[in-house]
Amino acid sequence: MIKIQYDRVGGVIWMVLGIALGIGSLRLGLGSLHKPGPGFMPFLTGVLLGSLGLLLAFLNTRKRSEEKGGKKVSLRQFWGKGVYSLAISFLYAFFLDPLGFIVATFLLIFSLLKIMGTRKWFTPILISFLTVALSYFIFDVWLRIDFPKGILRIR
Amino acid sequence: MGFWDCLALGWNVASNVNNLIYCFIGVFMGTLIGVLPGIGPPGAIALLLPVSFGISPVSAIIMLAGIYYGASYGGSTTSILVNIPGESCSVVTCLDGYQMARQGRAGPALGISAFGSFIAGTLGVIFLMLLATPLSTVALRFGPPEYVALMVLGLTIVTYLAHGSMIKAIIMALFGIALSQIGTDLITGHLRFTLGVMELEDGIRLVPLVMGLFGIGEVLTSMEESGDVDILKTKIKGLLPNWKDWRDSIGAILRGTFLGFFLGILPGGGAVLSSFLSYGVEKRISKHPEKFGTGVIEGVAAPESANNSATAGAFIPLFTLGIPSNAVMALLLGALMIHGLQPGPMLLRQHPEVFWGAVVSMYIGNAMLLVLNLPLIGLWVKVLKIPPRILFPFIFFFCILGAYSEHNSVFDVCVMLVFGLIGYLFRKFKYEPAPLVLAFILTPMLENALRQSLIISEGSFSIFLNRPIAAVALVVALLLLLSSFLPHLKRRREVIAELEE
Repeated sequence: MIKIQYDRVGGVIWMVLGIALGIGSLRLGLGSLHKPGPGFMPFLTGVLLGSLGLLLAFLNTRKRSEEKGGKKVSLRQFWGKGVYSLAISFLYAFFLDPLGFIVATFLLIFSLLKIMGTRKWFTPILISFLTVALSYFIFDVWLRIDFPKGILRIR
Repeated sequence: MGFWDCLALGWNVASNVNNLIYCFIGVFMGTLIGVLPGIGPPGAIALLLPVSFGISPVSAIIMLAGIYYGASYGGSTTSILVNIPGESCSVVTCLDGYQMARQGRAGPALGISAFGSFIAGTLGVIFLMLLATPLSTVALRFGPPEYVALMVLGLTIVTYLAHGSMIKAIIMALFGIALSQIGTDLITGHLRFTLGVMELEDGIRLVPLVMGLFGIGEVLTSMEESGDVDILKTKIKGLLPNWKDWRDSIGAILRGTFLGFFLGILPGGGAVLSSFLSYGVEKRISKHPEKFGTGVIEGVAAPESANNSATAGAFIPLFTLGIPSNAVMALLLGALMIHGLQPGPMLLRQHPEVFWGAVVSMYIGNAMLLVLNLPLIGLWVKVLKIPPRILFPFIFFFCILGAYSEHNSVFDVCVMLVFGLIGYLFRKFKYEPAPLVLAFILTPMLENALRQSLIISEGSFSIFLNRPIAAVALVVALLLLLSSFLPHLKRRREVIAELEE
């Protein structure tokens, strides 16, 4: 198992972000102290962020060599349910307009319940149906939030 | 208007049937999300924001505030019964609360935490009432330089109070500042860092950011630990603490209340910090410190009182200065501004009904919470039994709804999901989101006040040193920053971080 020194990687990421912010701000124009331009504040932020990223990466290298190896952070569980749930939610956002609130929400709740490990079929279908009905009445009818109508032509 | 007139006005507003109903909805939702792991007060308030658009500003504040202080009641239930804190401010309650439950004393533990919360909540509201008016009078004399200095101090305190690495906390604050710069620069009209995305021209919105970081981020983290919740199979009986319990804990409750309220005024983790500190204080002054952690009632009473009065203290900066001290207060600020009200020193003069109505509703809400949390404890235990495989999809769905409904925007849903992933990674690699959120909220206000100050002083930074309040605040901020790098304090931070794990 490859042990990644997470804080060092983190430090490098912040450093890169800081540099990118700095370069972007230079393009916007820094202005002067008396009349700061649009890039003034982001430039300062970028410089500080980059320097602290460097510090984090550097401090961490020193500490790690003293302690021999950091605590392992496991992302394994996340790659299962977490990634699927996020992906389904992104798909929901993407298909909300064409499918409409009712159909898309039904599919969302159903898929999320299945991802989380509900074995049977009837329970998730029932729960999804009830959720759609209830949220439709609360958010659409009562609170008048304008949801996309989609293929069912009702909203 | 005198104090009693104000109180009478507040009572008139808060006892209106509509407002009573909204207060109940708020404290009920608060207890519910306090009990449920995976969604905290910021997420729940963001979700109910659309409801608040359609009702009067007073009702909106009453309801949203109810969620906030209600959550700290609910959080203790899970700490005591399951050894899993429902909210971060109930972490310490686990230590002695769960041990009490294992010894068959779940009843008195739940009882004293509810009564302690009630006493602390009520006293906290009284402090809030007594302090808000004089403080807002002082705040009226503040100009832009004072505001700049206070906001800088606020940001410094949040990073200082953040757990673990100070460098990471400052990085989080800087990241928050960077995020808030995305969009149109209000002074020059230039687009900054929008990457050609039209939706980003208005900037990133607070609600999707908060729901992502605190809602989705937390669920993704909880997914790793999900197994069904193992509730202690003990009969909950004798919720009323006996005479000895009261004698042991009344001092702890009162000390917790004072400590909690004044720490609650500090930006960031006031409620969390105060619960830890009050536990530490009780242990230190106790005659039997070795018994702490084995189920002593003071160990439940002190932190639960402290975290409740801290929620009252957190309203002070919002109502007197118009500066939010945490994500929840920022959402309340947003809710007030949608109704055209500007929180700050003028609010108490121009719209006394909003402040006094909200404050009096907190007394009523605290009484409602006592009823909700003691006789109805069985209901919350049932809620605890909802398996995560059913619960998590709903939290996902609620977050999506909350992000979408503010502006009917699919783009906001995507922003929320991206921040959900970021929030998950932050938790994983020990970055605390609180400084990020506060920096994100304060930066536009700070930038504005900074530019105004420089206009007043014709470009000279000496204005911050010539005004005594601003100078003191900036010096304190600088000392705090420097002190965190002292070896002695640095070591202490590391010890606390280890203890929390």
